[in-house]
Amino acid sequence: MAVKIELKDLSFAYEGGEDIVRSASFSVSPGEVLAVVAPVGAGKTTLLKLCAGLLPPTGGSLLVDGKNFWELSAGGQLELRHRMGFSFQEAALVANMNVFDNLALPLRYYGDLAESEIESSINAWLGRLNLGAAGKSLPAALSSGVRQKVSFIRTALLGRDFLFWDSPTQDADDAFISLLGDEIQEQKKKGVGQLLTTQSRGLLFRSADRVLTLDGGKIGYLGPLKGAGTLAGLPGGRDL
Amino acid sequence: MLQAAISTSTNILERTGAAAGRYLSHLLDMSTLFLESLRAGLDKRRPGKRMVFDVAMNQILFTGVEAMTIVGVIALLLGAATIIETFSLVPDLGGDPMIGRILVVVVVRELGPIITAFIIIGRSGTAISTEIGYMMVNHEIQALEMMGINPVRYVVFPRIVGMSVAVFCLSFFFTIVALFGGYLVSRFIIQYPFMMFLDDLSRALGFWDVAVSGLKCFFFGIIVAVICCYQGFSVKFSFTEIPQVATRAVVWSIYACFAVNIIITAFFYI
Repeated sequence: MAVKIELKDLSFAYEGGEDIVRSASFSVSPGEVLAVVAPVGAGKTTLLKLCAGLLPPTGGSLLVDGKNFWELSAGGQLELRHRMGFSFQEAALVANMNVFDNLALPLRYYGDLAESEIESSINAWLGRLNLGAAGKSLPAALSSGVRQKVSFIRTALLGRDFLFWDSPTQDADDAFISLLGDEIQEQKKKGVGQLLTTQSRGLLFRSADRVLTLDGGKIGYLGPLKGAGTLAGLPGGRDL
Repeated sequence: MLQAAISTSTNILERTGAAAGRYLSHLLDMSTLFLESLRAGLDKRRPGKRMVFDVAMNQILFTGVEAMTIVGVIALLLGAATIIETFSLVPDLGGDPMIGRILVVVVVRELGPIITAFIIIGRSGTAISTEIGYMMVNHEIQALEMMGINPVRYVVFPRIVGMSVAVFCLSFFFTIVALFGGYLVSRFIIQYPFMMFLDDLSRALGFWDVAVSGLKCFFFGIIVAVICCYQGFSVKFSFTEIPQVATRAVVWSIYACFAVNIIITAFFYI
């Protein structure tokens, strides 16, 4: 079942620092792809993590599926997070597990699939991204581009109701960007809401329904790509 | 002058009060972490039982089985040293049942559990706080949360179980090896017959000596695991925080183990 995410007057500052996100209010509906565009260090990742309930806001509220996320019990929060997927910019793979075990971790934890099914679905994804040989490697032995691909597979494999893509194309080749675009479109057809930050102009134009810009922690522009005008932080040129 | 002195005293009191408040707050947070880990870990309806069990087994392997060599060597030397010191203080002790009594009081009741705890703090406690600290910086904990995996159930609970079981078992291993070390030295110095040693020991060693020693170690395991997990989770942004929390985990664990040791000793033997 699709999930809607809504921010109401949400603010956030790291301990002792200035506000990184100021009074942000917007929503992402099921089947919609919202791209966050801003220069490096402007708070794109922080905003995504706030939307995923990974960082507690200093003000305002986060509504996930109509429920005020930070008023839920720890169990309720975990249940909602279980319905969302997050592809981390830093990949965030478990360091002491090889690639295969990293991908199998959530599937084994929930025990819904037999080991043979887990194996075949993971191998299919690894094959699709030409990563068959990397299955037994530890994350530290991989390049950042490959780690991001593994993180992408982990997100796509689980098939969640809302997806966060945090700069998944940072160290990516064209083939992977194209595959990522296909996956975003496929998820969109299923009615999955998605929040995206990317360095790929092509992926942005192909995938985003709306764009949001951050200016000094505040939302600068929120609307369709065509009306965005000149955007600081837009990859491959600033003029839309 | 008087005003300055009063102002200084007030400042000291304020700072002491603030520090006490901070430690109390940490204590409450750690108690919450422990209770939450029990709640999350023992809930049979939650998923991942097999994986949580595997993590606990790995912790027992690392903390218990792999530490047997160092624990064994230290226990042997401590048992021997205890008897050498005893003979140096009481030269005419030869053959006296005091040997068994001294070994029971010094090794079984007191030094066995606390030294086992110290070895575990240095070896496994630092490893736990460092590993979790690294997982925090590397966003692995956030990734677990986004996969719907409760880090308290998957990371904290099995470490508490693994540590408490491992330290409990290690304490018995420590005691047996230390007693053997004491016997070896007695045999060398006063040709103490093995059967006499066993006889003295069995008379000196009561059920409660063994039970209290095991109880202490069980608590030490829980305390060290909770403190080290808590410190690991306190890492926020930087790898440079990791050695700091590891050091803090060691210091706090030592304080806590000593405090609990005194409380349990006082409760059972006074």
